[in-house]
Amino acid sequence: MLIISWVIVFHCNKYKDQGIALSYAKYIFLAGILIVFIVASTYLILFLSI
Amino acid sequence: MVNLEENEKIIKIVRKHWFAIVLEMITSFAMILGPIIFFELIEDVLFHELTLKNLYLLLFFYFVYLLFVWAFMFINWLNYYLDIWIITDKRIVNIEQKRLFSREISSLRLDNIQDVKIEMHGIINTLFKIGNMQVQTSSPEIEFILPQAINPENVKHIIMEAHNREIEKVKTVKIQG
Repeated sequence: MLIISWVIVFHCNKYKDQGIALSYAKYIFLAGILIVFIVASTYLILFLSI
Repeated sequence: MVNLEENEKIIKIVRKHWFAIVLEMITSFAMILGPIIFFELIEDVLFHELTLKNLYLLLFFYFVYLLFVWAFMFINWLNYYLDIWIITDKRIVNIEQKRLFSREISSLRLDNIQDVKIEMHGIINTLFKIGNMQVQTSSPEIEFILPQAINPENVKHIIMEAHNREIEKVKTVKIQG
């Protein structure tokens, strides 16, 4: 999923001059992916540690 | 993005109205909240002896699911945001983002425009000034359509003004020639 999100961000980088909101949105997207990924990993670790 | 010609100036960039993305965002939020509501409803029936370990596993799967929903939301937004018309003093460039990795770019010279049609239907569209725009040329196959554009009346006015200026230029060149 992290690889897919990187591909999406890399792809939308091509159109960065098509509007300023794109550059902000891609960082919000990446931040969201990272946060959800960390939370999911935490629950997986908790599950495996019990 | 688009390579402009020499001395070509951008007059206006037209986007879809933000209301166009609202319905898709509501769907995405329903996808986020759906499993929680479903889990709450069937909790007493199926999970009355839910252990902490299984709860962690459920939450893990839920957050993996959220990763996909988040990506789905962003792709939807991207498709909405990259759909634009660039009106320059010489032509209209239509950039249509069909899917994430599929886009179509076409341009139409202002002097080839036959008609600019706008459609505004319903209370919400009238209140928020949302309308479908259609630019027609002499060829029936070439047609530019931008659904749910922001303030289409104003955009039509801008296009018609630019079109008239371009026609005047062509006339002047012909008379001088």
